[in-house]
Amino acid sequence: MAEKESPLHHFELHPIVDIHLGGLDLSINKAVIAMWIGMAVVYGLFMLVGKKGTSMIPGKLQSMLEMSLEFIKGMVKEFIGDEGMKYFNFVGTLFFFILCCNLIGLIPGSYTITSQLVVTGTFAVIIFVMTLIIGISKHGGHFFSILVPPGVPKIMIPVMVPIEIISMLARPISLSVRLFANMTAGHTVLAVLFGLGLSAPMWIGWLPLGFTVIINGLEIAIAVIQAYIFTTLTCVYIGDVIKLH
Amino acid sequence: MPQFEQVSVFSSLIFWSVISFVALLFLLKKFAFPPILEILDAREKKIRDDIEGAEKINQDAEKLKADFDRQLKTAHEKANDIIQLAHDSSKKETEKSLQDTQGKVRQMIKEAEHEIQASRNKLLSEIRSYTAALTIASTERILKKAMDEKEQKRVVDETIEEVIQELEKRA
Amino acid sequence: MGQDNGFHQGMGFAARLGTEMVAATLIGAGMGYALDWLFGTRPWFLALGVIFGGAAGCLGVYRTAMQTINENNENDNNETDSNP
Repeated sequence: MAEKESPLHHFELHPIVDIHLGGLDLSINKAVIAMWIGMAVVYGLFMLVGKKGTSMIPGKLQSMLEMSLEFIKGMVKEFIGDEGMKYFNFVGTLFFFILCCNLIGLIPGSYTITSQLVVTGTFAVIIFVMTLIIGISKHGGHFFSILVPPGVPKIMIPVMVPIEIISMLARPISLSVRLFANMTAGHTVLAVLFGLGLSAPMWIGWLPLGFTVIINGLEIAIAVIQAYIFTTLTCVYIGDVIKLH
Repeated sequence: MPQFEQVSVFSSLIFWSVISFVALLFLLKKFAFPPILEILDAREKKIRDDIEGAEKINQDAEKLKADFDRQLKTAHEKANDIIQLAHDSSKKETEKSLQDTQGKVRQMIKEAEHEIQASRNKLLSEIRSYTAALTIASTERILKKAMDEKEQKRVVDETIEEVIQELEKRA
Repeated sequence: MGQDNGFHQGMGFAARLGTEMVAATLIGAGMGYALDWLFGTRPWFLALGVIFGGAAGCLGVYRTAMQTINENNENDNNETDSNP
C-alpha cells in the first residue's frame, strides 16, 4: 500500500501481452502500446495530408507539417551542411518519434516511454555508434584526429586524448539523461500534484488540481522542446564527425 | 525509481522501441516525407521562377521602353531634318526663281533694246534707201523733162510730196 | 530558414552546456572507478578520472563559449559589411 501511494508508482510497467523469446522477456506493456498509439497518430496525420493530396496552397494541417519539416531541414542543413540531407529521414523520424512519445504520455493514464532511461539510452548509444561509423567511413583513420584538438602542443597530447574521449562519451550520456530526466521530473510533479489534489479536502483540493492543468500545459512545451533538443544535438554530433573541427 | 528497479521490462522496452523506430523510419521515409518535401521544393522553385519571370518581364518592359524612347527620338530628329530640308529647299527654290525671273527680265530688256536698235537701224537704212531712190527718181524725172525751170521745180516738189506720202503711209 | 541560423545554434549550445559538463565529470569518475576495480589501485584512478572528467566538462563549455563568441563576431562583421 505504501508503494501505491508513491508518486513514482505509475512508472511501473506490467505486461499486457506476454511474449517470451529465447529467455528474453519481450512482453508488450502499456509503454509500448502508448508509443504505438503516438506513432499511429503521427503517421495518420501525414497520411491525412498525403491522401487529400498535397497542394501548392497548403491547408492548416499541411502547412503545420510543412513547417515542422522545413524546421528540421533548416536544422540539418545548418549543423551538418548540404550533404546532411542524407540523414534527413533519420533525423526527421527521430524528432517525430520522440515528440509523439513525449506528447502521448501527457494524456492521463497513458505512459511516456521516453521516461525510461534504457530507451533514451538505447537511442543515444545508437546515435553515438552511428556518428562513429559515419566518421570512420568518411575520414578513415584520419577520423581519430578528432581526439586531438588543433593547436595543442605535443606534450599535452597524452592529457588531451583522455579528456577528448571523456567528452565524446559524455555526449550520449548527457543526451539520454537530459530527455529521461525532463520527462520523469515533469510526470512526477504532475503525479504529486494530482495525488495532493485528490487526497486534500475539497475546499483546498482544487488548487493542486488547477496546478496540474497549468503544469500539463507547461509539460507540452517541454515535450516539444526536449524532442527538438534531442534532434538538434543529434545533428550537432553528426555534423561534428563530418566536419572534424 | 521503477525505471531503474524494474529490470525485467528493459529488454521488451528496448526491443519494441527500436523495432518501432525502424518501422516508423521506414514508413515516414517511404510514404510520409516525400510528398511534403516535394511540395516544399516545388513551391520554392515556383516562387523562384515567378520572381525570375517577373524580373525578366520587367527587364523586357524596360528594354521596350528604351527602344520606344529611342525610336521616338530618332523620329523627332528625322522630322526636324525633314522640316529643315524643306525649309532649305523652299528657300533655295525661291531664290532660284527670283534669280531666274531677274535673269529673264534682264534678258527681255536686253532683247527689247536690241530690237529697238535693230528697228532703228532698219529704219535708218530704209530712209537712206528711200532717199537714194528718191534722189535717183527725182534726178531721173528732172533729166527726163529736162527742162524749164518751172517744170523742174514742180517735178521736184511733186516727188518730195510723193516720197513724204509714201513715208507717212509706211510709218 | 535564414533567420533561424542563430536560433538553432543558440538552442544547441544552451542544451549542451549544462548537462555535458556534469556528464563528463561522471564519465571520468566512472572510468576511474572501473580502472581501479581492474587494477585494485583504489582510489587513485578515481581521483584522476574525476579531474580529467571535470577538465573535459570545462573544456567543452569553454569551446562552446569561444565558438559562440567567434560566431557573434562573425555575425557582427557580416552585419557591418552588409550595412556600410
